[in-house]
Amino acid sequence: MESVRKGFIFSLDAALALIVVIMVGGLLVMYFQVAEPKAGAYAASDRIAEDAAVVGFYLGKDAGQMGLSGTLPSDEFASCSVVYGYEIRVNSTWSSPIEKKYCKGM
Amino acid sequence: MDKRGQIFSLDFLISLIALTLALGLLIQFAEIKTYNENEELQWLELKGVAETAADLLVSNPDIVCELKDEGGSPLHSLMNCLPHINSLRISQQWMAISADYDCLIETPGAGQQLHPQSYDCKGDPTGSENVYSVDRKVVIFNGGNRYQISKGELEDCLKSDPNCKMYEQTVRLRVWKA
Amino acid sequence: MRKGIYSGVIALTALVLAVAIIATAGQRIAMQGDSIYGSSMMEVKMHWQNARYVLDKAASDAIADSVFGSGNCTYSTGAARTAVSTYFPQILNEMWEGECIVSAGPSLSGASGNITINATIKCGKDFGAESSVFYEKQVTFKKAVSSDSSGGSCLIDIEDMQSGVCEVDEILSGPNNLCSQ
Repeated sequence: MESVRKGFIFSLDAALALIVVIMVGGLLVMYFQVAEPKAGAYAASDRIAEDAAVVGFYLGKDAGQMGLSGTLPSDEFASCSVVYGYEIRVNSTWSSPIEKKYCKGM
Repeated sequence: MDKRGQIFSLDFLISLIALTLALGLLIQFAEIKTYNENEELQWLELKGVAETAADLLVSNPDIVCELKDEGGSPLHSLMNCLPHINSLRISQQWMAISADYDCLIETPGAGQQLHPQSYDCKGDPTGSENVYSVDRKVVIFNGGNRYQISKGELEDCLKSDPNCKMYEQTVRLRVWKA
Repeated sequence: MRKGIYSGVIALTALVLAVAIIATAGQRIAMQGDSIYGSSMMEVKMHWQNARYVLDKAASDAIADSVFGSGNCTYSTGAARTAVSTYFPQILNEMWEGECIVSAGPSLSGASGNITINATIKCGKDFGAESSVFYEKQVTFKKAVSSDSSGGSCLIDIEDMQSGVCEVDEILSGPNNLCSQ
């Protein structure tokens, strides 16, 4: 009976541990491969929003007319660029600059 | 008696197989890692060159439109504004693209195009393995043969006047290793 | 004792593999490093350009308000200078959480038909104690103002001399009409 227990097959524990390590390792690799493209997407959205804001400002077009959103979406990451206008009102004080947002989701 | 025959037991063989597989995987990992790192470095470098060039294309005062007052005095450069003139000053140098890279500027889609003869950056990326492409939104100023736009002309556009001489256009910059 | 040796070999192999995989995967993200300075410089420059536009309009507003608030509907350099000096920093403070400031001036000079305002606008960001991105440049605005209180109320015209655009057009006729056709 002892000879059956000793050294017939190496322990199930070790084999399971190896399988678990390979699976976890694979998951880690997949996670990092997904995380990397996100970094690039943030930078690209920045530039899209900024370009749209400048061009929209020049042409008197709002975010919708530039294919973007005028407000920050609440349910996803987005990049917003803000430009300001000013309305002259003859009275006793300055006007608050008029904010216009150009937001690009990802 | 039980200790005899432990070396060539089934355990030993299976663990040897597992060890060989693991070593093989490790070596392969190392090779792929080195190759990937190299590829990635080259790609990142290309990306850096292209994105910097695109930033300069829309902001370098030597390239973009210039705002002037009614008397003709220059006020400041206008970001994201390219003049539609036959001496458009787009060049690899002004976009900080070194000689070991080549580039192509295109204006995809309908809308006001850049003057066809005007700019440097007319390479052919066909056959190049890694080509980095950047799209930037600009306005093209169609003011005859001028790169200077007057403040009055800009005001026309700001209030969407039909006399506006600026038109929205996407400009595509493609960069690759020469 | 020996029955543990092969399990130990498997476990060691697993450990080495795990370290290799984690090291490889972790290194990929470390190489990404997008430059934040480049896109920040673009944004700062764009903000400067926009700030100039807003202060240009604000200058006309300040001049008009100074005439309106003068009590006798007349322009005075002193009152206009005070208004411009008050309006500029207050307005900039409301834009991009105060990223832009007036770093020099504003100064104002000239009679009502030829007012010149000079200032330096500085926009920028700090990335920490030792790195920052700033864009600073001088601006000049040129305005002409006229007023008319003959009808009982104070009416004002302001023309932007750099563009010929009429920014305030309350006087529609008469000798004080600056910009109506």
